[in-house]
Amino acid sequence: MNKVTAAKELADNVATPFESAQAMPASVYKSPDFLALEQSEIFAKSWICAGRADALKGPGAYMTLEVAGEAIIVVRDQDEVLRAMSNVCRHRMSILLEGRGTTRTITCPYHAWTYSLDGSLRGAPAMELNGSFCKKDTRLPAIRCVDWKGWIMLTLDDSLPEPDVVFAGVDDLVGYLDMSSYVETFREEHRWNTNWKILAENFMESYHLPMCHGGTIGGATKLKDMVCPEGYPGFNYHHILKDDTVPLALAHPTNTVLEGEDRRRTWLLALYPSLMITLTPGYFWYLSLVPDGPDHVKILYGGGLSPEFMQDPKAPEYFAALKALLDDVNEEDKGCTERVWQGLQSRFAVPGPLSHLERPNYEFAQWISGKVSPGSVPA
Amino acid sequence: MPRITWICASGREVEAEVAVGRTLMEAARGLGIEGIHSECGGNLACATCHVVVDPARAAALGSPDAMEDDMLDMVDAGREPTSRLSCQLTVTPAFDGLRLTVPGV
Repeated sequence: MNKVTAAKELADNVATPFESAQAMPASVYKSPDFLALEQSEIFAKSWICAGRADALKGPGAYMTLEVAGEAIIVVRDQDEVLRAMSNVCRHRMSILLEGRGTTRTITCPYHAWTYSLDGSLRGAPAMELNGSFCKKDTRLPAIRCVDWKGWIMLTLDDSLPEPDVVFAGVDDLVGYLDMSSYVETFREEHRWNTNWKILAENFMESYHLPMCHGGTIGGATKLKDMVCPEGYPGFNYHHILKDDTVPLALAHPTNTVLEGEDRRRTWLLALYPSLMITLTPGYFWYLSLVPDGPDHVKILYGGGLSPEFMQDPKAPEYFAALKALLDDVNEEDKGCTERVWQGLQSRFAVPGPLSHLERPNYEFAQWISGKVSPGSVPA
Repeated sequence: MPRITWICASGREVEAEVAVGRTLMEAARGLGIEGIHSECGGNLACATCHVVVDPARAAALGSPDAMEDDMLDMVDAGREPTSRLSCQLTVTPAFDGLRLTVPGV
C-alpha cells in the first residue's frame, strides 16, 4: 500500500456526506508510508502537547519526548521560562537527556559537552585546539514552545499560528472553567499496541461507552441523551451531564460562579491531532498521543483537580477513587482499541457506516485528509 | 594532611583534611558539600563546582589558566575576583588552612 493510495482512499472516504459516512479505510491505519505522511504533514506541523506546565516546577525541571521523529527537551530554565530545544548534542549527535527529572545543566553523557538550561553551550572539554570550535555560536536549536492554558504546546513549524488561533472556539465553550488554573496531580506514560488514530477516535465518541465500558461507567450513559455537535476547524467536542455519583465531576460547593447544568457538565475535547481532554468543573484528565510505528501509540496520561478541589481536605480521597475508576476505564479502552488494531489485520477488514454519534470521528477523518492531501476536502 | 574549610550558602561550615593530590571538587563531592555539583565530572565544561577563595590566600593557589578563566564567566552565582573552579584546584601542602566560600546552592 503506497501513501498516495492510502491518502487517496481517505480523500474519497471523506468526500461522502456525513449522513452516509463510513469509517476510515484500513490502509490509513496500517500503511507505514501513510504514517510517514502523517509525521511530516501532521505531527511536524501541528501543536503537540507535552503535558501540563505545572508538572515542570522550578529551574532545571525537564522532560523529554519525540515529535515527528525529533528528540526534544522541554525544560524550565534558570529564569523559570519554559523552553523546548533539540535533544541532540552539537558534537557527535548523541541524545542528551532521557526521561524526566531535574538538572542544573544539560551534559552530554558521551563527552561531557555541557549546555545551560537555555540551550547555550557552557563548555566542552579539550576543544581549544580546534579553530572551528566557537562556544558562543554553539547552542541547541530552539523548538517553539508555549504555555497555552496550562498546557505545554510544542511545534516544529515556525509558521503555525498560535494555539489561540488554531484552537479558536475552545474559549467560547469552556473558557468559563479556566483550564489554566487546574493542577496536575498525576502523570503516566503508556504504550499500547494500536494505531494512534484508533485511540484518538475512541476518545472522540461516547457511542462505545455502554458496551466497552459496561464494567465501569457504561451503565450511567444513555445513547439517546448524547449530543455530538459539529466541531470547529481545530478540534471537535461533545459533552455529557454527570449525576452526583462522582462528586469530583461536579462544581465544588465553594464555587458560586457556575450555575445550573454547567455545575455538572463534562466536556470532551479532541484538539487535533492528538490532545484529548476531559474537563469537568471538579477535575480534568487528558491523553496526549504520538505514533510509535503504525502499530503502537505512546500515551501521556495525566489529570488533576480544579482550584476549589485543591483546597478541599477531602480532595485526595475523592481523587484516589476517581483515579482508580479512570484506570479501570482506560484498561477497557486498551482492550477495545487493541482489538480494533487486531481486527484491521484481517483481509476482511472493511470500514462500515458511522453512527450519528460518531460525527467527531468523521470530522477528524476530514481534518487528517485535509492535512495529507491538501485540497481534498471542500472548505 | 592539609585542612580545608568550605562555607556553604546556607551558612554551614565543613572542615576536613584532604589528601595532597586530590582536587577540591572531588573532596567536596565526597563530603557532600551542597553547591558543588560537578555536572561534567571535572572536565572543565560545566562550571558547577564554583568556589570563592579567601582573597588573602588566592595568590598562593596560582592563577586560573585560559580555559578555566573562560569557564569562570559561566558560573551561575556570578564571578568574583577570587572565583575558581574547584575541579582545577589540586591540593598541595600550601592549601592547609584554606577557607572556601561556596556561592551556589
